[in-house]
Amino acid sequence: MISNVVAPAVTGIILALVSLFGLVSSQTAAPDKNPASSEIIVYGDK
Amino acid sequence: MQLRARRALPVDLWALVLTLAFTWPLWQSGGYPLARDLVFTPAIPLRPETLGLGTAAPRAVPLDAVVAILGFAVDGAVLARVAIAGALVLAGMGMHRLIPRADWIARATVAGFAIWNPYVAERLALGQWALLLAYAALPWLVLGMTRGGAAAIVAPLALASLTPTGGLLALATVIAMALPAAHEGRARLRAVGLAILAQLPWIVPSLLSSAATTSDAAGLSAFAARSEFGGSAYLSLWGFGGIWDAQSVPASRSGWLGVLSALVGLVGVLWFAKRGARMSLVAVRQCPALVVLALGSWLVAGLGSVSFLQPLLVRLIDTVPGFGLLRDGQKWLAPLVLVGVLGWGLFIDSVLAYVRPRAAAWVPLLAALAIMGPLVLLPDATVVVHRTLAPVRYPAEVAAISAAVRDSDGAVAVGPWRLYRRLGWAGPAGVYDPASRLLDARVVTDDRLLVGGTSIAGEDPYAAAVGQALAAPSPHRPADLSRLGVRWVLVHRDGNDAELLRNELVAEGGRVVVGGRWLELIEVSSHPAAAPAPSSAEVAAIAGLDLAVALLLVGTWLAGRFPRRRSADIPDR
Repeated sequence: MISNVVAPAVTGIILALVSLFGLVSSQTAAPDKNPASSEIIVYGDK
Repeated sequence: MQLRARRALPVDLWALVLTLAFTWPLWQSGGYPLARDLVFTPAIPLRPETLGLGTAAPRAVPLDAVVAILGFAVDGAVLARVAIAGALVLAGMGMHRLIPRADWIARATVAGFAIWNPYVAERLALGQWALLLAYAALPWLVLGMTRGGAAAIVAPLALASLTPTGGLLALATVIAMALPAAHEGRARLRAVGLAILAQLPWIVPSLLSSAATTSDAAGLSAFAARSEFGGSAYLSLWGFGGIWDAQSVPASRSGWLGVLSALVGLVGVLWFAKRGARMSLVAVRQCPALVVLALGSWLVAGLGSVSFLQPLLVRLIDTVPGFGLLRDGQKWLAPLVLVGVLGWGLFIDSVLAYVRPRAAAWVPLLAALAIMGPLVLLPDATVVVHRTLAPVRYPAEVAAISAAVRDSDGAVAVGPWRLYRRLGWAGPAGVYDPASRLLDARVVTDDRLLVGGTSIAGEDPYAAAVGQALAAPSPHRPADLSRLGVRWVLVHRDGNDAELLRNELVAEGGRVVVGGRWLELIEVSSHPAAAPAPSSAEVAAIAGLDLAVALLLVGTWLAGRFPRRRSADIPDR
């Protein structure tokens, strides 16, 4: 029972969670440069 | 005692050498200087806006009109080199002529220091060449006032009065020189009258302009004089530095050289007060007035940096028209630089007079130290100046865009909506959008300024309305822009938001008329409403006024050069 049902289920859940976490993080991590914004050009600096 | 040409020439040549070193990028390659506030184009179109009759505050009036008229005869690339280098040479030549009795070593020190100092370096790094023309005119104004008549100050007065700031500096200098000697005749009072009349070309348009008469007080702290080496900003101002913009300051100003330059400035002003009347052409009565003017300019220059005065100044700038001129205080420092530089030369002269009879062998070393002193005090001046002066060439598509908008109805809005840009085809520095000086059309740009993290509101209500319409992507945007009189949108392809704006405008029905690598011209409306424009009567009145002032100046100069002979002077036949 444990080896046939519980172990594969727990392994499957863990794998699913890890994969899901990896997938979500890869898609939501902040990029190096925000593609929506451009550099703010100033007249000068104090 | 005037300085004879033979005695003046070697020192004038030294001024020329230093100017060449200071402006070296201009002579290395062709093209137009385009960085920060320094914007030269092949020719500025002569339009009502150049006379100060736009909806923006007339800041470059009558400068733009004069450059536009000169542009009919001289290309902007030539004009840029003559104006920038000419200002520096004139400053050096004028300053040493004020101390003709001094040793040539002292005069060479003065000529060099007039060119190679923090005030000139920082203002040139920011690209404010017209202010430097006014600075260069000051010694010639003083020289003219020592000769008495209004005719003697015409040329420097005209040069300084090309901008409101320069005009006010000239007016203050003329008054300081005239009032102590007012009893000596009407000539000096006539000079004051002439100096006031010379300001009309910018005063009258500023009264007619629909731009806000008051300025955003947020600019007070943004443009306040800046401490460069610790302590109060007033200390940095003694060393002729203290500009608000950190990018324009040579790195050496933050070290002991900055402190040393403040000491030099202090000694210079004190020595001018002590020896100026005896050793310079400035008369005994005029000397204290000039020192008071210098100290006044120093006080005004630092006002914005005094924390307990800021609430009062903010209220004044917010409510009283014209007080916005106080925001960038350090530009008013020119009279202190004039007096400090002259005084430092007189100090060197005194040291030489002391050393020469006692230890003549030391004089060559002293001469070398004195003459090279300005370069030692500011060894990295060219680091900030050369990157601003490096000339660039305009992209090929500019010609096609100019041809497309010339003689067409409707204004050109320039996007993405910002005033300062980092142009891929120009240098790495931010630059004032050159479109208004390139295109013969009503050009509308953002007039807000970003200084560090502070946004300073603009003064042009038309620009604000166009900016609001251009910023909102919607199917109604072309109609909104058309109602405001905008036919064209010029897109600078200088960032991701430029591509976004371009694609949005095309999706909203805009037609790409000229497409280039760096610039695109998009027609958003073929039948726009009329953009705000001055009436023909207003244009005629201001053009007439400018012409009258120009004729007055020329007439005064001619009257001084060819005085009318009295009947008693005419020999009997």
